[in-house]
Amino acid sequence: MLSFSLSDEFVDYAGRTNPGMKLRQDVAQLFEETRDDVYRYLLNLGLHPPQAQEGAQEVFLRLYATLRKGEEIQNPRAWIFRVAHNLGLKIRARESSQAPFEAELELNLAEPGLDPEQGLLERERSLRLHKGIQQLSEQQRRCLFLRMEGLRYPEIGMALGISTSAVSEFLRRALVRLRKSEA
Amino acid sequence: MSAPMKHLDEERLLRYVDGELPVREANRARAHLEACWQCRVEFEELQKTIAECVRYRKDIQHFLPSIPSPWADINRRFDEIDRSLDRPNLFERAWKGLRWSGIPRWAPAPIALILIAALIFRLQETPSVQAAELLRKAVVAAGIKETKPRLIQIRTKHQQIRRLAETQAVGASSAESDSLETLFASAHFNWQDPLSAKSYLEWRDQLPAKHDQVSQTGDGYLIKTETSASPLTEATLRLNARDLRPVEEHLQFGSNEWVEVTEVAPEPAVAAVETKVEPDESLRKSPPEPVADASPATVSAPSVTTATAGDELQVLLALHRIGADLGDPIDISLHGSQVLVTGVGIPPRRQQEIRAVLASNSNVTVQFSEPAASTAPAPPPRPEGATNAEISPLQARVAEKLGGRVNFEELSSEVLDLSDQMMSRAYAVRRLSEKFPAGVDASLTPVNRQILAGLRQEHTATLVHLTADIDRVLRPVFVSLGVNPRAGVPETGLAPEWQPATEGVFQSARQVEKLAALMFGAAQGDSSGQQIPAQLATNLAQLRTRLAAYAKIGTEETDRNH
Repeated sequence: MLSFSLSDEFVDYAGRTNPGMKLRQDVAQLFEETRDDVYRYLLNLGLHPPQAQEGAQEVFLRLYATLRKGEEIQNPRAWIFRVAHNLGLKIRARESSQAPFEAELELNLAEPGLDPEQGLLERERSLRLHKGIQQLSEQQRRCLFLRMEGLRYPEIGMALGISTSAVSEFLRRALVRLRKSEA
Repeated sequence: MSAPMKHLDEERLLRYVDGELPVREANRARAHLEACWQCRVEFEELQKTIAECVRYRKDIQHFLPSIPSPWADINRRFDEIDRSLDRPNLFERAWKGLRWSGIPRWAPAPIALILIAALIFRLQETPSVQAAELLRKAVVAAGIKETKPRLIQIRTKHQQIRRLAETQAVGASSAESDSLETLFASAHFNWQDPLSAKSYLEWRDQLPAKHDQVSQTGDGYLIKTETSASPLTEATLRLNARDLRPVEEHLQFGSNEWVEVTEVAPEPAVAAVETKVEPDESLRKSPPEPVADASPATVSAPSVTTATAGDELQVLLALHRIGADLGDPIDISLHGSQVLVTGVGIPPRRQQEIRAVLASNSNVTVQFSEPAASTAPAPPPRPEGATNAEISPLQARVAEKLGGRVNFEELSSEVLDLSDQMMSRAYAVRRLSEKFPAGVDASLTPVNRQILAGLRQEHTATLVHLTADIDRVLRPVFVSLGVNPRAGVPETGLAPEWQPATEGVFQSARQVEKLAALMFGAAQGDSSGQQIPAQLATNLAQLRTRLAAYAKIGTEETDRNH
C-alpha cells in the first residue's frame, strides 16, 4: 500500500523560498512507491499500457511542478489520484478512435499455469470477484477502485466530481452486489 | 443489556467500517455492535467482502500487463521543470524580497506598476525578447494575484459559450463544449483554463517545433506562436500591458476550425468584495499579500458591512468547486455581516476541505454539528436493486425481456445511479432558485449574475446529459415492453422566468426518480402496476422537453445581462 507520510513536509515547502533538493527526493521517492498503483489505476480506466505509463509519470511531474511553484497540497495521495483520474479521462477522450484497453484478466485468471504459485481456490475466488466487479456500474467501479487505493470518501468525491454521500451510496451498492456475487 | 439503538443499515455500517461516521455516531454504532449479534454478523460479512477486494487487488497485479518500458529517470524531467521555473524572473525575485521586508500591505500594487514599467523598458530595449520569457512573467504575475472567478467568452464558427475561466467540472458539460474539449485535448491545450499564460506556456513548451512573434500593441503585448507539430497550428495571446493579464486569445486549428477566447470585462464591485480586508489583528500582522488589481484604489479599508446575496453566491461558488453543493448536508444563510455555512454530520476530512475552500472568503462563518440524524435536504436514500425475495411481477417481466436477472440488476443499477446524479443536480439547481429569487437575482452585480447563470447552466447541462443517458439506457426496455417512448410528450408548462421554471423541472425530475425506483428498485408502492413503464416513459419525455426549454431560458437570461 501507499505511504503518504510526507504530506506535512509538502505543505511546509509551500512557504519556503528555496525548494532545493529535498523536494525532488521526496517526490522521486513517492514516484517510486506509488507509480505502479497509478499505472494500474490508469489501466483500469481503459488506457493502453504505454499511455498508462506515460500518464502515471505525467502525474508526478505535475505534482513536482505544482509544489515547486509553492502551491499547497494538503493531501498528496488524493491529489495524485484526482489528477490521474482526470488525466486518464482526457487521454481516453483524445484517443477516442481507439478501443479502451481491456486487460485479459478473465482469461489470465482462468488460465492455470500462468502463476503456479497461486492455488486453484484463490484463482477461482479472484475470478469470481473479477466477474462481480465487471458487473458493477462505472461509477460504482470507480469508487471501489479509488477506495482500494486508500482514498477516503471526500477524496473520492473530489476525484470523481460527486458528493460524499453519493460516494457512500455507490460503495454500499458495490459491496452489496459483490457480496451477492460471492454467495 | 439491550442494544442501545436500532439496527445499523448497510450504509451506516459501511461508513462505520470506513471511519466516515461522525465521532458520536460512530461511538453509538460501536456500542450497538457490541450488543447486537445480528449487526455484528452483518459487520463481519462486510469485512469479509472488503477483505476479498483487498486480496483481489493484490492478486490481479500478477495478471495485469507490466509496464512496456523501464521507468524513465524522473529526475531528468524534474531538471526540465526546474529550468523553466528558475530562469531569472524580475517579478518573482522582487516579490520574495517584498514578502519579508515588512513593507506595508498596500505597497505591492505601486511596486507591481514599477516592475511592469521596468519590464516594458526592458522589452523596448530588447526587441528580440522571447515569447517564453514574457509568458513566464505573466504566469508569475497571475500567481501574485488573489484568485477570483473570471468569466470568459468562447466563440467558434458555430457557437458561443460563456463560462468561468477556470473550471474543474467533470461531466458537467454540454455536447458542444465536449467537442471543444476534445479539440483542445487533441492539441494538449488546457481546456479547464484556456485563457491563461500558464496554459499557453504549457502548450507552447511541449511543441517540438514552433515559431514565435512578440509585438506591442497600444494597451498590451501580442504573442503569436505558429507550429506544424500540433493540430493547433497558430495561437495568438494578448496580454494586458498593465498587469500582464491574458485578455484575448485566438486559436486556429488547422484550416477549418478556430476558437476565440475573450475575457468578459471585470467588475469593480466584485474586486472590492474580493479584496475586502478582514478586521483581524492577526491578519494585519501577516506578510503583505498581493492585491488583485495593480491600482491601490481597489483595496478597501477594514470595514464591517452587511453580507449580501453576492457574498452568499461567492460561498456557493467556492463550495461548488469541491462538489459540496451536490448532496452534502450543508446550508448557507445570511446573518448580519456574515455568511453562515452550517453542516450536519459532515466527516472531519470533508469539514477541513470545506473550511479550506472557504478560507479566502473573509466574511464567512462555518459551523459543523453532529446530531443523531441529519436534517439536511440531501437527496433521499436510493433503494438497492430488488433482491430475489422482493422482485415484483413487473420487475420479473422486465428481467425476462432483458434476458435474465443479471442483466436486470446491471441495468437497474445503472438507472438508479444516473437517477441519483440527476437528483443531486436537481436539488442543486433548486437551491439556486430558492436562494436567488427574481428580486435578489436582479439586485446582483452583472458579474455575479453571470456567475449565477454559469452555475445554473452547468447544472442544467449536466441534467440534460444525465436524462439523455437515462433515456438511452431505458429505451430498449420501453421498446421491449411495447411502450412508445415518444408518445404523448406534453407541453412543457414552464414559467417564463427561470426561478419558477426550476420548480417545474425539479418536480418533473423527482417524478422520474420515483417511477424509476418503483420500476427498478425496492421502493414501496404498487410496483406491480403495468402502467409504470408507460408513466416513466412519459415523465422522462416531459422532463427532457422541460429541460430543453429550461436551458433556453438560461441562455436568454444570460444574453439579456449583456
